[in-house]
Amino acid sequence: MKGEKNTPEWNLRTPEGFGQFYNAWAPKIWRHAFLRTSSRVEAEEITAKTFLKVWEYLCEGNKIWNANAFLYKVANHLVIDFYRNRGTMPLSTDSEAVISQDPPSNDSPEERVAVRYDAERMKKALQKLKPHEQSMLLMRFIDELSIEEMALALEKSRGAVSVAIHRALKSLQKVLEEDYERMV
Amino acid sequence: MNEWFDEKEKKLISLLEHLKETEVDFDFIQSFRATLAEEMNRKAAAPPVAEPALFRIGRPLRFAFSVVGTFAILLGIAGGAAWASQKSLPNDFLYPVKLATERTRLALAPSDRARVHLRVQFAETRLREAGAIGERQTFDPKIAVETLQRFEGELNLLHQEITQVQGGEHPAELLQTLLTIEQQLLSERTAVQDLAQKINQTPGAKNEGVTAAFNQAENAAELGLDRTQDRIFDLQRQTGLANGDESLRHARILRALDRLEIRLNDLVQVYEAQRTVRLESLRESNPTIAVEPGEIAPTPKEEEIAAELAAARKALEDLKTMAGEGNASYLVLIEGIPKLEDELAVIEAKLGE
Repeated sequence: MKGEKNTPEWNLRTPEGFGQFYNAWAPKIWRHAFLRTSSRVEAEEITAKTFLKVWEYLCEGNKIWNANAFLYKVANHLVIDFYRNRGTMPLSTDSEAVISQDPPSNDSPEERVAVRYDAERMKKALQKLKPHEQSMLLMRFIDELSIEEMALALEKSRGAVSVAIHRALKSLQKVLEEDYERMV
Repeated sequence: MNEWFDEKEKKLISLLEHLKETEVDFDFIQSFRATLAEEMNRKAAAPPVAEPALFRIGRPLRFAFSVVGTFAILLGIAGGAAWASQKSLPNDFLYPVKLATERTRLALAPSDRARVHLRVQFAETRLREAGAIGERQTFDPKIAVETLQRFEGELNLLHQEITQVQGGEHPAELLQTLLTIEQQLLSERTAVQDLAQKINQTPGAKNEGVTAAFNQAENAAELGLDRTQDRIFDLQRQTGLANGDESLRHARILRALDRLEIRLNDLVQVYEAQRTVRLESLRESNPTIAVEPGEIAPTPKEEEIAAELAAARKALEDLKTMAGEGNASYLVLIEGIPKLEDELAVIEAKLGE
């Protein structure tokens, strides 16, 4: 992954600074929550609760060493609560909703359809992974957190995170192969 | 791409990265920004404990949204917009503000009980909005489906939260809350059915997607009702309180018994299917066998399960008779229901072995 350049520094203890932090990261948190829960309502709630909790934490005078990592730590706990409480509740039909943006227009129509198909296939495959596997793949490859940030967020060592990412990729591969066999 | 991924992994990663194209709900994010600002003003940050409060932030996903300047303006916009948005409908300009305000109220709810009340209230709001959409001159099925999905989403979350909400020192108060929610859910279920009928009769509105969304919404209402009634029974058994409307108590019992009957019938079907499978495998190993399922001697396990199914059927019929007679003690009936549920769970486990 590319190294950091020109990373902004915001004073998170002011509403303005926290607001800028929100502007930058809320879309990612929403997307992360939506991809894990397949529910718009849940994604909104997780996003709202995540930022409110982080703000409350700061208001209590606590220090945060790495804001991105802390944000994902809070969001991850909220998603885990969602899974813990879900039981046998059926998934919302929102899961059919949202891979809808067209890829860049210089692609051919066939390529556009292929990309959308791949995205939908990935989304469904992701849903079949265990929660911690989902979090590994989304944080690393979609939200682009560094291994160090993931280690802080997930309270694991960097080595454990690296190993877990490889394992999650293997699990994803297995799910895709099984889905392919079912189709054929 | 990192060197420590092999070719297969790199290909998988490049496919995975298509998920970055997931459409983000920027309307909600922008609207929640305003309500977050209001909350931030209400609870200003404490001064830092030791170090300067500057943090290095990496790789933000930027989007074109201008940050509003002062506290007063933020508060004014947040407060004014939140108030003005209350009557907005899906696709209206302020509708995302309405949704964002609801999320904030939920996140800041002072107790689990307050949160479940809000959920039901917001579910009801979604239904009213779906009704209003149905009355518009141009019916937009996409907006109707989204609104119904939101209704379903609220009830699915209610379904989860109802099991966790605790009575603590005031189980009677919690019971009252649940009885109120039960009545609201009954109204909402009826409202969904009525709305589905009405929209089906609206010219140009009948649509496969809308019908499916209505079915899902009705299922969600049913599940929410099931879970609420289960909790009501639990609390009534714990507290010995059998308060609430008498006709509703009776309806609740009958509904629970119906659910038990469906579950028992399903288990009987599974049992018979397993016997049929056993017969077929016997025939495969010995094609000369020409017997019908009823003529195969049951195994000891099958005998045991058959006896338990028969006992469960008798217990259910007894409960139904008691409920039908109308003079059985309500508390006696609600003690019998979980016992039968436990017996069915045991049978289910045995069939699954």
